[in-house]
Amino acid sequence: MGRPVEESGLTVQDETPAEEGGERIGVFPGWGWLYAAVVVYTVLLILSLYLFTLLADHRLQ
Amino acid sequence: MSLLDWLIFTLYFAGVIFLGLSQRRKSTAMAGYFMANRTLPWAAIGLSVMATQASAITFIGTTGQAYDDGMEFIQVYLPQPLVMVVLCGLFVPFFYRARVYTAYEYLERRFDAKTRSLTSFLFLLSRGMAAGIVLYAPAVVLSVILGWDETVTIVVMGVVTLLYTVVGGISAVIWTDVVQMLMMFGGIAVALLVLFGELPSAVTVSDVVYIGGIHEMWKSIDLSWDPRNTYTLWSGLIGGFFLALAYFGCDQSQVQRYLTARSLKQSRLSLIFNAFLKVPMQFFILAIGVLLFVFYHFERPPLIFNSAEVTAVQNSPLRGEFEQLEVQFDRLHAVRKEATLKLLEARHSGGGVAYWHERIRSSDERLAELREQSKELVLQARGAASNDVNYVFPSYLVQYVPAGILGLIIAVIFAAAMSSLDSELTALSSATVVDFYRRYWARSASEKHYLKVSRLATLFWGLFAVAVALYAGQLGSLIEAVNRVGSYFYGSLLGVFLLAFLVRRATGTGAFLGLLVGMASVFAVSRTTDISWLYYNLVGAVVVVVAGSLVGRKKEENGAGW
Repeated sequence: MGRPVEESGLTVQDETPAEEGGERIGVFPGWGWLYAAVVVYTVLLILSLYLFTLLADHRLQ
Repeated sequence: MSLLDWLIFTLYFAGVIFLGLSQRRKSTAMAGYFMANRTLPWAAIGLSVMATQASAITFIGTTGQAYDDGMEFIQVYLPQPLVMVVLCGLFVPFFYRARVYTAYEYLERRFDAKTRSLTSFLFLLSRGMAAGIVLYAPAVVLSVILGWDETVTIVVMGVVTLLYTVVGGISAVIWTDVVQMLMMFGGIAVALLVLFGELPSAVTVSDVVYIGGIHEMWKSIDLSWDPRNTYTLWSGLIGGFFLALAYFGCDQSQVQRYLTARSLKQSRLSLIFNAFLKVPMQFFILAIGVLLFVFYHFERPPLIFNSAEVTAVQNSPLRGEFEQLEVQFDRLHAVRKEATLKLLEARHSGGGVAYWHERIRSSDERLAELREQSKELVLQARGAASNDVNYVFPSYLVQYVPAGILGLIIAVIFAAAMSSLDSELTALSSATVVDFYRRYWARSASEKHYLKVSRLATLFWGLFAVAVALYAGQLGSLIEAVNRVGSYFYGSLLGVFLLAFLVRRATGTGAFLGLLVGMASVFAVSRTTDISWLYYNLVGAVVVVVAGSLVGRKKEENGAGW
């Protein structure tokens, strides 16, 4: 549970990171796997666009 | 527009107002009004994040840019999935667990009041003006293309947005954004299908790719290294990364969205949703522009798409020169059209294509020259440079799109503008009330009082945006100056947040001084070098982190560290 923090005249709840550990995200075993999937997706996007750039270049050489 | 178009258009407005007002009961206190009591699901927030970023200019300006320069603008968006990962791992947990209303509120917890107030004030200054431009830009284009009164267009768009935002708060904003974003997806698909449908029946998808490819219009990746060029892979990945990190991580209009989630997990998922969808969406929007370019190989495009500019030249002593350009343009277009059809014939029959390639290339060069000459005439006649790029897509819509579809796509353009404006209004209102009113003037008033003030603040910013939009024509240099301050500010603001998250010894004074030094550095870089503006955020962020860390270290040495 969170603990109250008094700072700068504002009362706030400072939550502990209870949701962090070992959480399954859909088909992914954890956040790290999902983030890795996003990175792989980005690399594949760039490669696909590069391939598309090459294949769709119909200027006369 | 036909009766059917007006019917669709009216249905859109009625639906948005009804949906927005139906959220009223969820805003009974400030937490409901600005954070939806942290109850919203990730998919709704994800769509709202996308809708906030996609303004009307995304539709009308980006398509026009692709018509002129092809797909290369996509490179600026490529780092966005990576940015979402950084936000999920670093920014969102800090904001979400601190249970703040605004991103700047967090800076007081971490540093001090002056850093929070300065960053929030700079946000209000730049976003307040930007909210006006969000209204003004599409209103000008639609008034020229559809003949609507500019003032009426601004007032209708502004007042309807204001109505549901003031009453329903962030819940109304996010749920209307969901509808507006789904409309945008539908609008993109319909526009692409209609464009394909308008091409001559013998032209296949492969032919479209081929014709675009002759002109290098599909070039999506440029591997050259030139920091002066905005549209290369490296500028996109490096400059675009810091630009997107500053926008999604430090701009209250985005931060406020993911603070409304039911849990930290839902908050993160809303951003991951964007990571997967944003680049494909932008690809299809740009593809509309390239398809328009191909389409105008078979239909005669206007020499100038902005009919107001054409009228200005025709009513000036330059009329004769312009008419001569029109005649030459007409003739050259006919030559290019014939060459394009012959090229496709040769391509299908396996014949030689080199001759037709050359005919098209030489016609293109001459057509581009004629367009430049006509823009020169616009400059002389109006005393202002032509901004034809924003008129390419709307001009096509009015001339070629069938009844019903036109109403839908114009409604989509309105939806894009309104979904950005409503988010900016709640962000401006939350920063005003939480960072200034509640912080300095009324620290312990009742929830009812804060809710009332929040609605009044939203109303104020809405009226301010409408006023800026109505007078934007006269405020030209002021708006430009504010935009410039904004561009100096964003990277430096990002630096302050990075300092807060990553540098343990950083102090409030270090952050405050670092912010000022960062902005000054970006100003100096913009004045003394010709690197692309895309790198300004990188410069600002790095200078703030370095300067802020050094000041923190100095204080530590003097025994005043935290």
